[in-house]
Order: sequence, then structure tokens, then C-alpha cells
Amino acid sequence: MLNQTSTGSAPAYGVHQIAHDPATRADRATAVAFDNLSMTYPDGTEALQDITLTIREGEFVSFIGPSGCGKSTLARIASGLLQHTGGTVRIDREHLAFVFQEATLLPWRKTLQNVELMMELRGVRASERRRKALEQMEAVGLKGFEDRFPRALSGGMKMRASLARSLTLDPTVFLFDEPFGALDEITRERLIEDLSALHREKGFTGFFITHSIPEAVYLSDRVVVMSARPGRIHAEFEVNLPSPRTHAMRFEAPFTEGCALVSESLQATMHDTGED
Amino acid sequence: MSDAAALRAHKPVPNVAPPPPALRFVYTVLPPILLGLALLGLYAWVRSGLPDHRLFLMPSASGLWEMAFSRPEVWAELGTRTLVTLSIAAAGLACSIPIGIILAIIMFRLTVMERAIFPYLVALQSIPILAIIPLIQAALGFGFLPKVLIVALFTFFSIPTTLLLGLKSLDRGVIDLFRLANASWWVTLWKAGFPSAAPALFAGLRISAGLAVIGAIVSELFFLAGAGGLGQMLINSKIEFKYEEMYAALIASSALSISVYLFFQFVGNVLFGEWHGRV
Repeated sequence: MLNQTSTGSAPAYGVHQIAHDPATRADRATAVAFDNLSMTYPDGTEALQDITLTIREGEFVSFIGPSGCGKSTLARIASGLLQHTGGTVRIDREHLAFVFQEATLLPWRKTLQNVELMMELRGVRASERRRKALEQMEAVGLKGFEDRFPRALSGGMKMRASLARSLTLDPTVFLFDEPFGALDEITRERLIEDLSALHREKGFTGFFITHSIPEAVYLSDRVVVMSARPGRIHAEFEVNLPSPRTHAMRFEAPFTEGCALVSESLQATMHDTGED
Repeated sequence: MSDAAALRAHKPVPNVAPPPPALRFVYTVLPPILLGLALLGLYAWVRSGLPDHRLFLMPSASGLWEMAFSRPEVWAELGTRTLVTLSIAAAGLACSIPIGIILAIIMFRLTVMERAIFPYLVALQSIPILAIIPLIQAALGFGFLPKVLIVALFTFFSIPTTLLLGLKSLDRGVIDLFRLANASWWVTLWKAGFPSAAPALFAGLRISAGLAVIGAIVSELFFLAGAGGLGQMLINSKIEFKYEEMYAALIASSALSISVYLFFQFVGNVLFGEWHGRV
């Protein structure tokens, strides 16, 4: 209980709005950097405007915002699937993995062959492929399902297979585009907890797009609230909660108050829509 | 309260025990057999109303047996002629399938080629092939080649169209996945496009299979010289008033058509039945 009264230092636990790009982890190297990034589609739709943001190595950042605010566009630009029209993005795409909302498993391949796919496309040797695929399937709790076709997997298991497939690349940057949006609440909570554990274990940089405030707060070091089209950064929150996160934490004041704070900010962006 | 009157008790409905396997087998097999018998009955009834001098149009079962199916020489003729027809059908498919596949790939690769080619595919489909057979004869003569061309024309349309449809419906997410791995267009086609489009292509191939045999028989109707297939047998036996043999040839051509269809169905099931479901 030393110096807790000082207004300059942040309280121990909770979610706090922070100034834009405060470089709280300035000691760490940059993993992803957007500098005045903007994106206008050929039909003239402005999807993103003046996005400036630095994500540090090992940091887990969630992006939340109303539908059509360009969060998916931002992830696709980061991955290189989409070309931006203004500003710059700096990222190492050699060690990047991207998990989509759909598991996008190839239905004609058994689960193990699906998990091997990205390595196969990158020319990894067959024996090495097999070894790593089995290892990652075990890591996501899919041991024993190697010979199943995707259609014989539940929605949650498909997403686990998709995660395993990405993990085989040993990604340093991991992009997620609403990966659990299509799952039921119970499956979703388990997957979030497992993903949180994976992040702690592997230490990758997380770039997580979601519609769910509790999901964002639970997983993240930082939550970025975006405003509706054209997408801009509305506010940033630092999540300072004990690690590892626990299920019980979801019902405690720092967590629930943090969710309320993010929710208020999100509400504010909705009301701003169309004002400027 | 008045809603007591509106309430109606709904009794539970107990599960009905599923029928035993033997009975289920009967349920599956009996309906087509019964319908077949009914059709034969209808045939016999229509036949009984025919005047004697027109009875030849509808041979009786005993007539079919006596004049055709009990005779080894008819069986031998059916056998050799079926092989001839099959070879024409197979050669025609061996032309139309690879050309159709290549055309579909070109149209898939380049939208401009799809715009250029597709109208002519539809136009080709609209040509009454029977009407241009004399033209084909004038150009290519009366040998094997013109018949193969006729089969190829009959079977061509459904191959590039179904394959193109299948390739175009490849999941966007899968394409993104391959792009993330920097996979080339050819690798994406080979490892994602073809497997994904195979069920659509095989739907087209099954249509073409039936048409190939029909095309082979139709082509023979116009080429009576030389050792022909079942089509020639149909014409010859009619000329010689051997209507029982003509019916035998008809039955053989149906059987051949069904066999070719089943062959493609079988290959399709081996290739993708496990993940796509059997057809």
C-alpha cells in the first residue's frame, strides 16, 4: 500500500483509458505499426482513416467497434490480403498467422491433413509436418481426432483445428478476425480461456477482432475502440488484470467495471456516427 | 378464468419402433418392383388391344425370349455391337472431357476468356446436332472419327459449365488461406479448386455419360456401312422386320447407358464420397 494515493500512478488492477499510443511497453520491440493508415475502396467507400497505432512484441490487442467500422479491413491489411491506399503499415508477414471467423478447413482433407496444410504450402518436409501437426493438435486438445473429416467435427473442434493449423507456423504475430463469433457461449468461453493460456505460453503478438466486450477485456493487454465508418481509433484502454486470467475474475469488480467502461466508450462512438 | 376453456391437453406421442431390417429391405425394394410390374401390366393391356397386324410393334415376353434372348447368335451380336457403341461413346468422352476441363480452367483463370467463350458454348448447345450430321458426313466421311465427333458434341456442354461453376464456388476463405501461404495460382487450383469442384464436375459427367451412349447410337443411325454398333442393329433389325431383336438392342443400349452412368457415379464416390456424401 505504498504511494497508492499518488494520482500519477495507475491503480493496481482494472481497465483504464489511456492516451493515444502511450508506449507503455516502450522497452519492447515493435511488432505491428500503423502510421496514418487509410483505406478507401475502389467504389469510394472510406473504410479506414488515419489509423496510427503501435503494437509491441508479445502484446495482445483487441479491436472492438460497431459493424462496418473497418476492423476486419484493418486485419486484412495487416496480413497483406488487402492493399491499403494511404499511410504505412510495418509488420513481419513471414511469421504471421490469421484465424478467420470461419474455420475454413478443406472438407476433403482429414483433420490432420488440414492442420498440415499451411506447412505443406510452405514446403515443409512431410515428416516434420506430421510431427508438428500432431504436436499442435495435442496442444489445442484435438488428440484422437486426426482421422476425422471436418464435417464430423463440432463447431468448437473445427475452430480448434483452425487454431492448430495456424500454430504450426510458429507465428510471432497472430491475427484473429472474430474467431469465436459463430460459436455458442459455453464453447466460446472455453476457447477464450484456452487461447489466453496459449498466448501466455507462446508469447506471440495478438491482434484480435471481436464484437464481445468481455472477450476483449479477458484476453487483452489493450482494447482499441473504433468508431463507425470511416473507421478511426476512438479510444484505447489498458487492461491491467492479474495474469493468468481466471474464470472467477469475470465476475469481479475490476473486470465488470472495465467492461462497463469499454461499453460506454462504444456507446459514445455509436452516437457520434454521422456527426462528422 | 376464460382461458381454461382455451387450454387443450396435447397427449404425448410415443415413438414408433423402427421396422426390422428385413421389412426395411422390403420397403426399399418393393416399390420399384411393384411399379415395374404395373408398367408391364399396362404394356400387356395396350398390347391386347392391338389388331393382329400391328402386334409386331409390341413383342410379347415369350416372343422376346424365343426370337432374341434364347439365341446365342443374338447374344453374340449384342455383345460385339455393344462394344462398338461403347468404344464410340468412350472415344467421344475422351475428347470432350479433357477439352471441356481445359476450357473451364482457361475461363476460370481469365474472366475475359469466360466472356469470350461462354456465349459460344451456349450457342454450341443450341445447335440441333441431328441436323448437322449430314454436314459432318460430307466433311469427315463415314468412318469412326465423325461418330466420335458427334458424341463429343453431344457430351461437351455440361463439362466446362459444371466445372467452371464448381471452381467459381470455391470458398473465399480458402482462397485467402492459400494467398496467406503465398501459394501460386496453380497450386491453389490443384489443391483447392479441383477437389472443391469435383462433385460439381461429376454431376456434369453423369449427365454426359447418358448422352454419350445416346450420341453414339444416334450417330450410327446415319452410318449403316461397316460393322456398326447397337444403332446399326436397331435399323437393320427394323428393315428385316426382326422387331424382337430391335427390342433386344434397345434394352442393351439402355443397359449400356446406365452402366456408363454408374461408372462415373462409382468413380465420383471413390474420389469424394467420404467427405461430400455418396450419390
